[in-house]
Amino acid sequence: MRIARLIKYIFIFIVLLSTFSYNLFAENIPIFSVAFSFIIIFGLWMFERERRIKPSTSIALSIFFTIFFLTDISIISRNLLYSGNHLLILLIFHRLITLRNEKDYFLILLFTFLIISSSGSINPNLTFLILFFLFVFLSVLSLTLLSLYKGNFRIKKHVSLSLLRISLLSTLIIFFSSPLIFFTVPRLGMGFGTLIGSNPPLVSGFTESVNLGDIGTIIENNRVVMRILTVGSAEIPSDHLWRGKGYNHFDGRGWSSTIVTSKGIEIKKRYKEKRTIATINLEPIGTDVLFVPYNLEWIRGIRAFKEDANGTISSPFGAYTKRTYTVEFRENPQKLIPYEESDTKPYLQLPEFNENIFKLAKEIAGDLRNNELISRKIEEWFKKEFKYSLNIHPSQNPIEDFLFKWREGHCEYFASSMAVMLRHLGIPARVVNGFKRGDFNPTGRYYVVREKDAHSWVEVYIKGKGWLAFDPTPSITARYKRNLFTKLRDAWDAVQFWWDRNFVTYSPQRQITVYFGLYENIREFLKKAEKMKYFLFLLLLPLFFAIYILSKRKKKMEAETEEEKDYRPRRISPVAFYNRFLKIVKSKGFSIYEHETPLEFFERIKRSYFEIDDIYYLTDLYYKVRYGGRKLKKDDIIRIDDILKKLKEKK
Amino acid sequence: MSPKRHFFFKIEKTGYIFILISIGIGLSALNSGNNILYFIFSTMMMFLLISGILSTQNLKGLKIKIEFPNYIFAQRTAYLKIKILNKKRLFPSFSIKLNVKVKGLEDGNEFLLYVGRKKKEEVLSSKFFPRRGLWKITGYYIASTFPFNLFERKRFVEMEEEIIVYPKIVDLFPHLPDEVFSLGEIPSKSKGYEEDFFGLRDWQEEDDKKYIHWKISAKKGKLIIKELTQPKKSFITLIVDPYLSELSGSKGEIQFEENISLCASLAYYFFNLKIPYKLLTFGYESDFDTSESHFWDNLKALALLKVCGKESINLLEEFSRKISVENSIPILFSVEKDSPLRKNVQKYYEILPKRA
Repeated sequence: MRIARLIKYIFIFIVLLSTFSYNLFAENIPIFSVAFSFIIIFGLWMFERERRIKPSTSIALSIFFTIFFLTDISIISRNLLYSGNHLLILLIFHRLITLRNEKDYFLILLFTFLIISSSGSINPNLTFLILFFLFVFLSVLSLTLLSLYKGNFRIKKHVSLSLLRISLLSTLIIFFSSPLIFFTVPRLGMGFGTLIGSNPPLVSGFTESVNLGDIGTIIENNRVVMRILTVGSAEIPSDHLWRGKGYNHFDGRGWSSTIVTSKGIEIKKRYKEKRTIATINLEPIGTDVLFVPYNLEWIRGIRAFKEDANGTISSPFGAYTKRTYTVEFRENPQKLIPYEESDTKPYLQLPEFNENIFKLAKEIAGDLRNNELISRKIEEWFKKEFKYSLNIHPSQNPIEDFLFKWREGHCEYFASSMAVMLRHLGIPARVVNGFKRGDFNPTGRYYVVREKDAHSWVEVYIKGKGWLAFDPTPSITARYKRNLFTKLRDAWDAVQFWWDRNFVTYSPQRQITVYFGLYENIREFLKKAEKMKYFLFLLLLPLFFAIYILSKRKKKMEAETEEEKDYRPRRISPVAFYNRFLKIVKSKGFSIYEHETPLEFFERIKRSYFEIDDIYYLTDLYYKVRYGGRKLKKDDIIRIDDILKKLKEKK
Repeated sequence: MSPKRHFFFKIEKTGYIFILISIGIGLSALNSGNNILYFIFSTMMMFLLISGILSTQNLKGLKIKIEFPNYIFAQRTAYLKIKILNKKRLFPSFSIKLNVKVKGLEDGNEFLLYVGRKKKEEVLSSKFFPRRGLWKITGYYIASTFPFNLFERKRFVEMEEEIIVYPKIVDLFPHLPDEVFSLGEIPSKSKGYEEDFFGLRDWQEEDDKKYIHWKISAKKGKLIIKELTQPKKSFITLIVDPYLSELSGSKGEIQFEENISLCASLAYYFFNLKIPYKLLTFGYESDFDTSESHFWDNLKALALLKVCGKESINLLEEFSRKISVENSIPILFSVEKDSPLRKNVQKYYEILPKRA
């Protein structure tokens, strides 16, 4: 196959790859996705058939693309990144239908690279990594072929196989060595700004307010919200809850947070219970809220976090990027937020007093006077008497209908009803949104929390203790069974998590930790080495020996064979001695003219030099060697050297 | 003494674009703190590094040998054979540009797509030498933009090789008077065959079978050959006058070159007819001979002959007085009418190039 043909096919693949990547990660307007895909396919068809447009059409298209870009950025997409990608696709199309030389190929490669890079920077998941690897491989291959393009040779099978091997090897080296640079390039915190319009698609499943009925639509979604890795692979109990946002205000149909006062998190006092340290890797979720466990002791790795009166911990930074932070919590069966005594009035608020609900609450509470016991009893009552269901019934009084009519619903109904019942009894309560523990991924040994794990529960204020969590929702039947599909999904997720943890969320703090860790390890090793120097010396002896043997072998391999000696360039001209002579007499002020023969030169200078015989000897020898085919003998060389030395020393 | 090697490194246009884009991505990474951009930047840096390593490896271990044709004539394309040996055990070499540097000639690249590991390849490089003389080969370049076309790595290996370019051999008929073509032959006065009978001897393997005397061979029972005398040929002396006054200018120089070309062509004509001739010029005199080596020695002398100016007139006078052309037919190639050679050489044939 000819090189040009091979390059053509590789480029078709590269362009398709970039279009796929653009559709997968970057597009936010579906109609554009379809339209641009068609444009590219049409361009590729023209390219394959080698159909070129006229220069006048090319100019008209360029003008149209410029107008489109300006309209797109100012009216349609209103985003530099998306508009830029659209323009790049149009430019690729333009190059495909006007392609003339190598330069055009290089430009296409450049545009596709920019599309893949920008798409990846928006949504940096594992699929991007695979696509990027493929792109690097194809780029290496195409650039290698382009460097051979000059003659458009017919490429033989063994040459193309050799090129393929080198390209693959280069790609593997590039790909697997680039982390060395990645981890060492100094990071400057968050940067001076963020990419214009580079917000990644958000993971849903968490909202700033609770509207009864919303959760049912997303509860079965398997998209990952966060992954939790515990130190020492510590187990997290199955009823564990990741607390998100607390709500104090109920309007009859939904909950919201109306208390704006907040404070910095205090370092809690150390308790005796066993503690667990977990690193939470949060996907972009579009909220400031950080998901934390109960009985929290400390939180690290995230900037400027705060806690509001509803117990919501949040940080304004990086709401639209992947975030990583570490928490330490006590393993206590009671899910508690210790909180100093404060105004409980907002947590007793009700839109209107409902006699039926009050009566029901009173009936369940019976003679009990302890708020904690009453809450526990109501929680158990819900679990026993109600059914979990995703069916949502339209209603003007959802709580009353749920309690007295349907007797089934999802977590928001349970949590809201319990909180309303407790408030009717004068017990401060609030609804909290967050996530259940999630599934354990045995491949990566971490917990995966998905959108379907979104959950609502109740927090009750217990004097002397703080806010205690109660979950009135009856537990749903067993989670998924592990089969080949789930095993594959877990493995894929484990690799994705590894990529996220080590690359996507690699932070300046982590970089410092890595550097310090490395420094400490080296120091420790040197300390140990000092103690074991004789043993190490013995250990290194075979290594030195191996290096010695290898270097000897290399020398032997590099030594010239008889055949290779033949390839040595000749440097000594047969009449080099005469050139040396000319150089010497030139330094004494006598230069041979361009038109002058050596004999003429001799005649001219013989009057100025006493060594006439010697100079004549050199001139005569020059003629004999140059024209007569005479070869210099050993005696000649000795005499020449003597004469030249004498002439050089003469003043 | 090992040859001097010079290494050059040039960033190609594509290389500049790549570096600029890398800087852009690097700055965007710093600005946004986006780790994917850091990752892409790292990949680009590795790409540059691998490009450097591969391009070094590509030219490493390549041995070049240049073979010149035995005879190179002026104003004819000569093909230099470039042999390339890849000494590397593991890596083949790709996309090699070769250029033999001849002082005074424009560069022309030859391209070699692939040299396998421990393999040899050959490529022909055409060179057009516009004039006779000594040409110096100062070295050769091997260059490559492999693997990614971002940089060109070049190695120049110094050489000090000289090649002699012989004068242009022309078709003599349009240039020379007809009598020149019969100069070497002396017409026989007696009737007979082309040569006289000389004697008989035993046939040897190298002898031509057409001279076997079949009758005597049959009688003697072994092959006997008939030996003939050499044809009677006169001796020719080709005299090239190197004298050229300043007044003759470039026109004279052109005529001088044409004279040399005609002389060489005539020498070739006599050599083919086995007519003994010698070349005589200032600083060079050969013997009468018809051998091939004699012909090439004469051609070499003609190739290297330089013009003598007025400053050499005394030497030329001295030289021309010593010239003896007895027992031969002198043919003179001269530009200047008042040349000392023209004055001193008697009864010569003069060859002047015919003007169209």
